[in-house]
Amino acid sequence: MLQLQNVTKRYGDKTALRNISFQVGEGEVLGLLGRNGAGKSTLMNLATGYLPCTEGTVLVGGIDMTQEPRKAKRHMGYLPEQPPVYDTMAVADYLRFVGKIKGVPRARLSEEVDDICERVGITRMRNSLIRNLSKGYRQRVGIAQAMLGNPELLVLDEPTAGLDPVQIVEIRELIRSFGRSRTVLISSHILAEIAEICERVLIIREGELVADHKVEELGKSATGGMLHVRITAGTDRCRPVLEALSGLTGLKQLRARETGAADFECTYTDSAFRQKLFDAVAENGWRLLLMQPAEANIEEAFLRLTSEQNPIEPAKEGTP
Amino acid sequence: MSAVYQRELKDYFQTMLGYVFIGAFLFLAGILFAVNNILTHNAAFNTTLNDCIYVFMLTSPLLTMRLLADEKRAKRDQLLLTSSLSLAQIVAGKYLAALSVFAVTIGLTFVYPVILLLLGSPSMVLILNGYFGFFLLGAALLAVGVLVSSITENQLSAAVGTYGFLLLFLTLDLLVSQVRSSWFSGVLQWFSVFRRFKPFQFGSFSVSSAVYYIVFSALFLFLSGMVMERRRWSGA
Repeated sequence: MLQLQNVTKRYGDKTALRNISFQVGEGEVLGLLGRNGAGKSTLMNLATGYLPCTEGTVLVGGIDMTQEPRKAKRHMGYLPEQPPVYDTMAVADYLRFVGKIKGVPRARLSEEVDDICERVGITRMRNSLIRNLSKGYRQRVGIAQAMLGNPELLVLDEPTAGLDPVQIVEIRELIRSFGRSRTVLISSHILAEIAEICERVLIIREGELVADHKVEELGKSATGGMLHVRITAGTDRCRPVLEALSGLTGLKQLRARETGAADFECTYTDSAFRQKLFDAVAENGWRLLLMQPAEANIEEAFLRLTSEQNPIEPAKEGTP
Repeated sequence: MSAVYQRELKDYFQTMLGYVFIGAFLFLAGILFAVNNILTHNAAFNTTLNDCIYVFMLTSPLLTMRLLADEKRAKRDQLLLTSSLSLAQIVAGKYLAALSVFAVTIGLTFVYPVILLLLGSPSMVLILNGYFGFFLLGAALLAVGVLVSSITENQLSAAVGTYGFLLLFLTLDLLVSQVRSSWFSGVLQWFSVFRRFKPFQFGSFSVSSAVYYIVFSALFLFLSGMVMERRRWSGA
């Protein structure tokens, strides 16, 4: 459905994206993960034809974005980082306007607007001025405009940014339901979000595609690599013992939560590390009060794996 | 294009800019009409129309300053440029909306010649000819405003920039009488936006001036599209 072939984007001397190639098949939900400023939005802007490529080709449904941009754009809906809404318009008027410029036939326009308002949960707000909506509802209006016309490809740039937890769950469910029948490309800097919605993930770092994973592989590498442990011993005594364990790649002392115990965050690569840790604690006559994957830091752990200190993993050819 | 046109037209009256423009233009044009025609018992309405050029110079940025600048600032150009619209349709839709508000406004000023008609016997053909020229001149100045609006993201900068452009045109007009070289003076006269209105003011229908205004407007709109396209490439 979407194919990028050796795409490079340069602004003068600065290269924002370098030689990116991947494809997203029909009905696939692909996540684009990277830190802020990694080039996610630029990549999305290139994929949607908002920005032209300096080099390379973007194909949407087999149509070349450079050769036939208007035809290619008819296949897609795009939610940029900032919802492109007009504050002075009512929600329904705005959606009707978007439908018209996207080429939705007039006869179906009202029906489609009603339908999308229902799906996105903004029916109650359809006559409200957009400037009076909360951030969450503005984001929903942004998603509604992207989904309007039932495009075959939906491109969403950080769709849950700034939403409250309830709204995030709702929006994710909405994207998942859309992804059952359509192709979705979604960007985020939150791994958990990508892991929940997507089947496949691309990781982008400083304008380069550094990895192309199935989500299952991603989860393993992240959750298996970091532990939060609490040991009934003083920090000074624990630290040298932990540091001596093979497979440990990082040790960070955390704020102690219980009297007489020390908390650590251990990053490891060896799959037998947990057993070694348990044995070391027992040998020293201490007790292990807590050993759990540091789930709150999944994103941090994963991004650390793809950070500058780590070698770039060659990206596999992105095939659905 | 019609969707963009309709939205822009509606927006003028949702943001009050349309009312402010119409109100300001009619108020100032009304003063000129009173001074030039009513108080002096003069039926030459085209003199008033000529003076209205300055009123329009003062008020026209209200119509054009946010047209493209605000889209860029609010990043709504991402919506327009990823839709199935072409750049030409976007620029044309917005320009025609501004032109429509201008047309309605000068249509409303037609009440002044009607008053003159009630009081005397002015030549309506002369006045209609003047209106036609004034509309074409206004269309050209609006195209200048659209171009400036495409250059910046800030509405205020767009308004100030438009004033700058219009003052430059006015200055070139003033230069014509100061330049000794007849060749250079001739070139300046040919290019002068305001001197092109003179035939319409004095009752002659100038095809060359009409074509000039149409080409002038088209050129500035084309340049607006080019600026937008260039910004896409530069990512500015």
